[in-house]
Amino acid sequence: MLALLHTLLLALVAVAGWAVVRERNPVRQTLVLGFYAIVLAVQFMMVQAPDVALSQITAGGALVPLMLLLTLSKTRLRKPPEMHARGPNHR
Amino acid sequence: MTPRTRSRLGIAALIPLGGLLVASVAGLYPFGGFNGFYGTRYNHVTVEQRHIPSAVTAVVFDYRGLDTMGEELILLAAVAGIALLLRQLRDEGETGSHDARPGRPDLPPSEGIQTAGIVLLGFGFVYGWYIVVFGHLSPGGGFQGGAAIASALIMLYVAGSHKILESLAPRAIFESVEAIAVAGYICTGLSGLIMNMRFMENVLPLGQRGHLLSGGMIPLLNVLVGISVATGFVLVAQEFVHQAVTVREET
Repeated sequence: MLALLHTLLLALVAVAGWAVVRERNPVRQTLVLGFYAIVLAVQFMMVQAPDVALSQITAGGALVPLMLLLTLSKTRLRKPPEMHARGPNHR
Repeated sequence: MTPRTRSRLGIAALIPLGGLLVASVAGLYPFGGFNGFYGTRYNHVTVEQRHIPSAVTAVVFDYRGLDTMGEELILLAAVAGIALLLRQLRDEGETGSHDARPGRPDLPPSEGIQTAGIVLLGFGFVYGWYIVVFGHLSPGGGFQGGAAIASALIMLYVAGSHKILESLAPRAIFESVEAIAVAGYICTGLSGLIMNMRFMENVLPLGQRGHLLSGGMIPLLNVLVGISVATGFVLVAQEFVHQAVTVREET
């Protein structure tokens, strides 16, 4: 029974990893990455490592998606270099 | 290369690798069967030698406290690197939030998010400190609790605004607090050197197993690590928020 649960959870980890790779939109990929982090944390709890699971939940669920989304927002809002009368390299 | 070709190539590479993975996992010891020397030794001696029930915390903060000091310095270096990389350059100016018209105040987040943020911040902050302080009695410790506290403090930005985050979690104070906490960790190790001629030797009374003040220097190190990790992560988030929301290239 326990072996079956272990196997199911490992399969879920594999599926979640595949989903992270297959999602191509960066914003959605961030959320799928958060889901993958939570699944990994459950996996860590399954093998009786609660300290690691706590770290994984906070870092992978809250801090890494925050940093990723802020970076995406910053890089998307940068305006392309404007064209001046004397050419694109003149400021 | 089209996505379909990529998928097919991926699956074709995953099948032999997956077979290798399954074969190697099947050849592992059964779960719980451990053949190392130190693991079983730590399980036997931790309670008598350190008077705490959590062998993991004893290994991290006492038996291998030097490695944890290295991890602290890694975190400090990472936070300093991020602060250096995301510093404000000469040709970048600070503006208001980009989704607000110039001259108008920022839009506050919706009331649902504000309420949820207040609840999560209060609960997360207290629960994070619980994880830090009880680190030697239950799973947790400095790193985990510090990350939980930082996640709660970031609610100031998620459910408030970047101005609230900057005013309630000012960068100057957090930088000093993190530096003082890391220095405190090193000074705790030096106190062992001064009194017993061994770095990180325990100098505080060991106490009784199960009590809050047991394990000698372990609760103190837990609190110091918790403070430094929490402030470090909040500083990282602040740098990102500052760079993403307020800093603009001046054209």
